Amino acid sequence: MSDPLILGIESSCDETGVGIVRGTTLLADAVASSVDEHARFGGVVPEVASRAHVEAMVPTIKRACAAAGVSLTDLDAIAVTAGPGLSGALLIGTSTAKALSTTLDIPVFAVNHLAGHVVVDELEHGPLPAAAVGLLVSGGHSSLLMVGDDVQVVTSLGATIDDAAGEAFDKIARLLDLPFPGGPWIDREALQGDPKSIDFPRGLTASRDLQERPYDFSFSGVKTAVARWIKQQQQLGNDISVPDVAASFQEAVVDVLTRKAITACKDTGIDHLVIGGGVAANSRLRALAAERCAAAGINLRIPRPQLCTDNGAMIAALGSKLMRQGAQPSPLGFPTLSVLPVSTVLMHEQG
Amino acid sequence: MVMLAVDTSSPATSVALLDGADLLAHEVHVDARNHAEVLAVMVERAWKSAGLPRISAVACGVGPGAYTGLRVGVSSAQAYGLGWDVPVYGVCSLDAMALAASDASASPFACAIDARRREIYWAQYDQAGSRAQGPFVTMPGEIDADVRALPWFGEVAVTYSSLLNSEGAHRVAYPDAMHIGRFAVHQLALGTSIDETLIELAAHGDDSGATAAALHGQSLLRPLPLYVRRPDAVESKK
Ligand SMILES: [Zn+2]
Repeated sequence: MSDPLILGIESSCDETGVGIVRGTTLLADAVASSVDEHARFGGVVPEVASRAHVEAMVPTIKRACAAAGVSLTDLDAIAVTAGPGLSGALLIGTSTAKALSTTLDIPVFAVNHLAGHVVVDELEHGPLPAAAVGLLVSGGHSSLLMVGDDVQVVTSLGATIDDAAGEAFDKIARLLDLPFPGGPWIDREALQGDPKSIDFPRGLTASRDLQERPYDFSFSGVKTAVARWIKQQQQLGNDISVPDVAASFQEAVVDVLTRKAITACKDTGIDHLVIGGGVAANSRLRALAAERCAAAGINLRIPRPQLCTDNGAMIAALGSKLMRQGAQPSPLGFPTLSVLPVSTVLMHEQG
Repeated sequence: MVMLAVDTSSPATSVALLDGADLLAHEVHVDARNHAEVLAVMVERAWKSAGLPRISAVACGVGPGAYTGLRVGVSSAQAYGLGWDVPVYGVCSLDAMALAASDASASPFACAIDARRREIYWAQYDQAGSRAQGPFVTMPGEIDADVRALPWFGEVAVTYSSLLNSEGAHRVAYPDAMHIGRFAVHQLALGTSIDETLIELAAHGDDSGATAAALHGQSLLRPLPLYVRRPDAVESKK
């Protein structure tokens, strides 16, 4: 008997994603992004994102089915992001999933977006080991977590106490007159710059912080420091080297992210690190993580950039794993939770 | 032909199953904050109670109304249509209220849904229940005095009883899926079809009267929210 066929729906931020997965095989990954509509606002506007999801959802589902060569009636289950994310945006995905569940008479798994970012790597590098540390970095989240053999057992190790890493990239890009979203532009500029030219602060790495919050992040300090540095140089009448600022800022962020992720692996005795989220596309993060993991004897797994950013395939991958592990589907009245904790991988409750 | 109708454009979530003029199932739940939790459960319950008939069309109230709730109904309706592989029709939720109100009024009248921020979504109807003007989003005090003197329907009119003639307003408190369905069944019987030119408007209409002008004489709409307002967002200065 072949593995069940799962359709995953993601609408927690500005991407309308629909993925189709059988077992750990990716069959389709259709994404409609409203990022261009947000660019003129300099950040994701929830109302704009929600309006775009309503228009994009059905066409994206049809596109995914066509790409996978399956029809909706072939599906065995639906998985959908129930949180965390923008509450109005989440509801469009969950409403769609519930209606499909009724009409197709198949179960629905209402799942945690963050766990999806880790499990998606099964589509790229095969089944996850019995335990893995996940480092999730995007415009919406920055967290360190631990995924067990039972995918429903996810433990939060730490998270940002202020800005998300991707948010910091966007803000610095804006200071440097680079377009939104800022990540790819900072990455590109940084290639020409010297990461050691300016010493920007590494958040929560003072010895006391390392003891008290070893796995938490803070990016508001480095953001303020960059803004202050630029202003000082302008007042002094100095030319600002965008590549040097970009490289130095990026190095400060990536240094902390990788250092804390490695520490988490060592402290927990887990020798697999999975990196996900939009910032996982950053070339310096990938290079430094590879270097430090190799030195520490840790197996590094990073899916290709397309699977790192928000997509429906990651939700389908998680639904598929839950189903293979015999998890009970969610009741039709499940709620969405914009602040769904990492530890709730699957919604069991009625709203 | 059995039609599923839903409406979530007001604090009420409502579901109806109709077989032509026959009402097979009907349920209303009033709670402004949990449309998304109750709608799918109500639809499944209604469909089961009617004996799981084959559904041949879906109709949904497309507002205007509070956006978050509205999108729950519209997204759901689109997906019911997709899953059952049947057409989905949008109905202006005020028009469905008017269908209910036309029995209760012997003269031209107006229907309203709360738009928050001290504004209302409203439209004016002739004695037979056909839309004469609207929908608009306005502060009640800005509406012409002769229109304000008409009988108003909709719970929100009671909130503005000093400005609107709201004596009988509670008789049709909210849009109801039953009337969404009846409206759609009636229009389909008349041979009405969806005007495709309204796609852009449904998504991006503003409050300058463009929505009202474009919707003039339109009855069956695309299943997309009728926002009437633009999104509140400030473009960055750069
Ligand atoms: Zn994400």
